[in-house]
Amino acid sequence: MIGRLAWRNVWRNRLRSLVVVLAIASGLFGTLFVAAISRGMIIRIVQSTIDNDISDLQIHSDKYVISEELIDVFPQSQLQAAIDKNAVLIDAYSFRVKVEAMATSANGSHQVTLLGIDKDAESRVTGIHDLVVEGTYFDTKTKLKEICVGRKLVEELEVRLGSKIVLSFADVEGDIMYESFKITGIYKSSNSEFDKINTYVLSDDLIPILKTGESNYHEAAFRISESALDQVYSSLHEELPGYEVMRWFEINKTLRAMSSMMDLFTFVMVLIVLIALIFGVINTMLMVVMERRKELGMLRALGMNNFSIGRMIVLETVLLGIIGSIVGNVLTYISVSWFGDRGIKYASAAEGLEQMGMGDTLYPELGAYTYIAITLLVLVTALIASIFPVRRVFRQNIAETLRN
Amino acid sequence: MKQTLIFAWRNLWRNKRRTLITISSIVFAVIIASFMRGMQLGSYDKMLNDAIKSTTGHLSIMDKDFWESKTLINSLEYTVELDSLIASDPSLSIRAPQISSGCLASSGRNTRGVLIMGVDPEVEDQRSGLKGKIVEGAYLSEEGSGVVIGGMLAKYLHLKVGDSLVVLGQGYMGMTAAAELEVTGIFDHPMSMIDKRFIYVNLNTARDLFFMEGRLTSVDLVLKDYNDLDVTMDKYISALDTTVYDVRSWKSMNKVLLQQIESDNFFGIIIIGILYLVIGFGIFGTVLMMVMERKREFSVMMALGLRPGRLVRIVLAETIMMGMIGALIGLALSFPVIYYFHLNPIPITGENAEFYREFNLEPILEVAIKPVSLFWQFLIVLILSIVAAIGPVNSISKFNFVSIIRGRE
Repeated sequence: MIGRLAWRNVWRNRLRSLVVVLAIASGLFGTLFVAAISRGMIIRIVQSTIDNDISDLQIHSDKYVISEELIDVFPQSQLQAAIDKNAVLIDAYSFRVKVEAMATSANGSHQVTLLGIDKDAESRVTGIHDLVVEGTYFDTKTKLKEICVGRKLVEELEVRLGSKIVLSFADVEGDIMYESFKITGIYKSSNSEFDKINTYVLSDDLIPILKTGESNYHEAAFRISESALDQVYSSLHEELPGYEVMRWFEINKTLRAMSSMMDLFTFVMVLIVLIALIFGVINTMLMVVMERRKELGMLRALGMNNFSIGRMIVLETVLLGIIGSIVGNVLTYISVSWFGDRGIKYASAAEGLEQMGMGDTLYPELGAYTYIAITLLVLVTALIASIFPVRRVFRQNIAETLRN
Repeated sequence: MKQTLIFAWRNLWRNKRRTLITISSIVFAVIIASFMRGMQLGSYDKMLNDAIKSTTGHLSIMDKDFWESKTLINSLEYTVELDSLIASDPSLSIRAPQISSGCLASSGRNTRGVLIMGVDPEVEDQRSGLKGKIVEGAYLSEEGSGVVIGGMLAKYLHLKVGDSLVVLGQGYMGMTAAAELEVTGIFDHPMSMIDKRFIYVNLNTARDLFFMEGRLTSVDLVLKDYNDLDVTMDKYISALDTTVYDVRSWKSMNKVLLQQIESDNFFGIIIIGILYLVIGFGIFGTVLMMVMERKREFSVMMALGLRPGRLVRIVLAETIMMGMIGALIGLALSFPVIYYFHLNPIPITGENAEFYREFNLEPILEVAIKPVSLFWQFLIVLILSIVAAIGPVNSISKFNFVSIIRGRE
């Protein structure tokens, strides 16, 4: 009964209610859409970092983590038992050797990280093979040692597919080795800084030069589904004393900080807009009760208790909030899913975005919980905003109101 | 006119509570907006100033191919003419000759890719305050061939002051550059890129190492007065042979940074736009009520011969007054806060500081005072009040005052 009254009251002055609903809807839509774009950026950075760079979980020897010395390798056999034990939960894994090197061409030189990989295992773990834009990902037909490098490095060194470049690096004894490789693949990821640094060669080619010993590696990278990650982590952690087992957010600590910072940022934005909305809602509802002074006085004189009257006004405010947030959420949902599929090209800032690892296209994305949380926040806002008008009604002297 | 204003002023205070709430909403928006803009613009200024002062300069003179391909083959010959041209220019505050090139640095079994920076020790200190960041050992001197390295690089290579470090790279014309250099100082730099990857030596050491006698990779110039940029740039372009030299401005050298700022700025503006949009709806609601509840009053006035135009002006004056009071109070309240934080930048600590370092930013929040941006807040509120008033005010002239007075509407 009170609900019906409130609902009808909302539509007595349509224009006014519409203004409030529009204010709430546009405020929510705006903030949520901006939040969705920023969220999409972060998710893309996190996802591409996990997919192409650090994977879900990595294992190194204790010592390697501290100083990254070439000599701190581990034999594959030591890990294999622990991996086999969790084989059901592990999607893929790859062993790598890793060394800092200098890549030199006739036209320039650049420092790189050289990763010695097994082609098949690595393809299951990282997405680099999908990002190859020129040549192939180790076709093994040439007699020369193959190397797969980023597009950005190719530009930096002024070389082409098929060019030979010299890599110099220290071997396990500390002697400097010079080795020439043929560029047989060029990849391009969404992060131009990554492309400049990370270069891939076959571990079978690299290990003999490093002299670190056959089947000895610096790094093991794993792909594990999110649900199984913690279980595998604790199992490996227990099975492998002397090894440092790290999950993605332990490897790259800023990744998680970025998402939590973004969540905080969104929350603050929404809060500011909601506070701004409160003023308008309070004003409107004050007007509503002022207008209906006589009518409300009459209702009270006829015996409607204060609680019911208060509930009616609160309900009116909350209804405005609900309608506003439904409109805002629906608008947001539609545009987020539309642009989420197609992406928003941001060509004028492409280089800047690519250097931060976001590619040149933005894909807005918003979690379901955000919609729910926002709707709840709007309801709380409406409740707070209704306090003033309700108090206003109660302060009126019924007899005097009716007499005038 | 005066009468209109008096009328409007009195009307405004007929419903004090409503006016105050509307004004508070404007005050709130202006404070939030001016503070947010202050922080954003402050951080952009800091980023650009840091980049200009410590890495690129306002202007940089280099070989015409160097920017596209930063190798020593594209270095420039530092001629006497060029030197005297720069040395005699009174508009410059810093003239930084430098040689930079990527190398491998190793110590024992550890090897790391680094960037060797051959600099004039004194000038480098002027630019980036490197001397003050030394935490162990001593800063570079003109003499000798010592190197100073970052704390993180030192840790990684297990180096202490007095230890030696082997650098290996490619010199001018493809010659192999290799040398054993002594670490004479270790610095602690807030930007992780520099702390992890930069090695500083004096110019002579870099010249010997890379076979770069009489050559530089670039000369960076910082101006005393930024307004001289275009004039100075034109001066160098006409004085130098542009088939050999390239004179670059900071804008073209910091393109990526400018783009990042642009995209961040775009979001900042959108968010403030949304805030003002919401406030605008509030003002619109208030003006609408102000007109609707005075329907009768306005009608009587019109019946008595007051022209609708006059009423329109009164209502418009009320709205604008409300907006201006709000904007002025908002600016008056936010200015001291902004000014305080402008003088006392907010240091960032803990996990967030790591985040800043990761992106090669100094973990400090600077707040800028930009009169233009503050003026913009004022202007936005003014425009907003006028736009919000258009609809309701328009309806006044459409009043059918006869039937309103008779109580039919």
